[in-house]
Amino acid sequence: MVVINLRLDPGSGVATYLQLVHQVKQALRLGVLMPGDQLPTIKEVVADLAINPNTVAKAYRELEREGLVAGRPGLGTFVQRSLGGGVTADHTAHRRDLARWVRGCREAGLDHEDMQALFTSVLTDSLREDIA
Amino acid sequence: MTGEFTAPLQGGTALEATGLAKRYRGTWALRDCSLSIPAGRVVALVGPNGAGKSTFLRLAVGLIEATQGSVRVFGEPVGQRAAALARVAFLAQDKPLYDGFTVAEMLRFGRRLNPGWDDALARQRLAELDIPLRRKVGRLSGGQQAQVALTVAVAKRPDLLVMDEPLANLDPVARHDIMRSLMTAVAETRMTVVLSSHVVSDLNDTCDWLVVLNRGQVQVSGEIDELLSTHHLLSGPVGLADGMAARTPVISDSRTERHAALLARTGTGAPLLDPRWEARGVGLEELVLAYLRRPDAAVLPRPTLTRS
Amino acid sequence: MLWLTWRQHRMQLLVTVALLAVLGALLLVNGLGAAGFDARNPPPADCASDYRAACAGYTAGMMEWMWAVGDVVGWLPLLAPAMIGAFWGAPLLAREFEHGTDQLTWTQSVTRRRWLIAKVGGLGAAVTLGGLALGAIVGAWLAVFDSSAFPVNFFNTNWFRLVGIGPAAWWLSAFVLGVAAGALIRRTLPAMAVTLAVCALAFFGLLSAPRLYATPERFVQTTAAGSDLVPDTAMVVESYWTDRNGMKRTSDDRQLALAVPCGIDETTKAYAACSFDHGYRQVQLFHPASRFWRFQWMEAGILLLPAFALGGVAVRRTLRPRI
Repeated sequence: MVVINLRLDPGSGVATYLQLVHQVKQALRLGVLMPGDQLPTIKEVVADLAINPNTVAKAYRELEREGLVAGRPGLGTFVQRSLGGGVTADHTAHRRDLARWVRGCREAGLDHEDMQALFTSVLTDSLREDIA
Repeated sequence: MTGEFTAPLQGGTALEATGLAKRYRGTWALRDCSLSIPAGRVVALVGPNGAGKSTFLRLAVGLIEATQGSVRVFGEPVGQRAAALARVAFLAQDKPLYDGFTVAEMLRFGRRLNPGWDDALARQRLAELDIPLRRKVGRLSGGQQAQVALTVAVAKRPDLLVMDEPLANLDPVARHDIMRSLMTAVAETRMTVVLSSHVVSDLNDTCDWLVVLNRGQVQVSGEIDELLSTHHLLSGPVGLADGMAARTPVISDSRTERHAALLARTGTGAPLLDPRWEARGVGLEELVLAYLRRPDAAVLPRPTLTRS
Repeated sequence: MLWLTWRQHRMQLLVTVALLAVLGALLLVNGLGAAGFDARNPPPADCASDYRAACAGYTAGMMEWMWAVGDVVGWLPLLAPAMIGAFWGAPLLAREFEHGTDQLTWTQSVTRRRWLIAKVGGLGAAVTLGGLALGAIVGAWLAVFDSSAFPVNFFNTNWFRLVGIGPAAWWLSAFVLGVAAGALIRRTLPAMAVTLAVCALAFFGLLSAPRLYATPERFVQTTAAGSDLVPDTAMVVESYWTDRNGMKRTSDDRQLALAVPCGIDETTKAYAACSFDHGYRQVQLFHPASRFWRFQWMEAGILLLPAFALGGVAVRRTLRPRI
């Protein structure tokens, strides 16, 4: 049974296959997709979103490369393992680092929006490096 | 190897043009056009009106003969041979059909004229689209006519489907439906598709190869993801712009007194050599527009195919 | 391809067959009527050589039957080829170009050459058969009338292009002309108009051309006794008088010169005998009926050769298009 529907955000500026990869990962992270679940077939995604089948194939290949899913010939693509977002202790440490960064920015005179812009820009850059 | 998401029929060359040129009554519609398109791609052929898109497509399907040069489809010269014709389907600009025929008769037309005709596929597609077989083609809506035309082209089971402005004159819903049908057909048949458009936004999620045709010449030919990842919009102090332009091919260059914004072909990897530059990615439309405004800039994949 | 040709052109085919059937029925009824009249009023045996009241009655009766439909049939040599050219030939390619369906039909798995052979060849054959059918129908109808008492002149401009291979040649050449006009003009209505115009020009241009198809035979009448006159079935090209010096004379000249010795009533046998006695001779230039088939084939050649040449240019242009 197909568990999730993939969706696109045309205005996001993120490459379509990455959007698909992220959505599957998000679903894995949130527990919406569990090992053994089937992803929609390429044809289903294509019929749903009117996008290039090669794009869907590329996204699924990427997920497969990361060991998250596996294709079974003639059957479809199935989830192999779920994704945890790290352990809670890490979260606490990262949060502390980020708070320290925010304080530093305030002292340097940056306002709320400046910080948001900076953070987004760094996040985007790191994402791009991941791809490249 | 993996299951259903194996790479499409890659490795071969679907379409190859060498020094292709076409002249109409003294005017060159296409000049020295050379390009190579791998099999299994969905190719967007974009360019302004009058750039030679229709001419190129009509040459590729053998409707007209080249003044110079040649086109090969899957290694075979294009021409009036039944075997060559059977491998290529063409959807012309206004999606011509015989208005007096019923939809069923259009299918019969396809069956009678094509040995590889897939009648089951055609009927299934039309059933899914709720298009009545007994209705006359002329009495269908524009979107339905486009779907029938696409069905006739797809049920021929071509290896290469060529479409000239398939989305022109369609409302947004019909455009989406046509694209969805097309993409489903591609997923089912793994055919190569070449479609032209002068509206780039239609092609964002559907095409994976871009050919930019400008003033009768090929300006860009390459995989879209690769093109997008190798071009960046760089913004930085105007004093550094000349230095950057000397190191990197710049496609568009807009400068104010202090600030410069360059759309540059930076190549893969980190484009920034100087921290004073800021780089961001570009969209397909942005990229195409930048190239169209600079007809002398070109990106062609292979050194053998560069323009003279 | 056969199905496609039938599907796209069935209207023209059915209308043509229906019109031929209507014409056939009309001529059948008329022919049966004429045969009935002939059976009820058999002509005197020597009508051909002599002219008497009984013969006049018979001739008038047969004439009446013939001309009951003759006027309708008389329009056919002009109308039928023009319609064939305009409705069968002109739209064949022009309509495809006009609607852009050439791009559909020529990108299927059938070569353009095969497509053209099926369409032009198939429809050309149908048109030729139709023309031959018309020739046979009219020929059979005229055969009812044709007898020694009422000889039908097949050179008559009313019939010459309706019997034998005449209609087939006219129809086929008009069809090829229409196809060529459509291929070169690429728009249906202008191609039809050009086809109609050229058909009309050809018709009126060739109307009296058969007299030139060969050197006519010359017959000089020297006595009033009319045993070896020019037969009624021949095509008379020219008829004039010569005086005793062999000078060509008009009827007015002759009447003026003979007014004193022979009187002024030219219709009497005595006047004719008087003319001959005064050295006048009647000269007739004519083509005998035996030349009928030769003339039919000559006209067919005159029509078909240019039509095929033009058709060849059009086919060439279609197979290797510049546009």
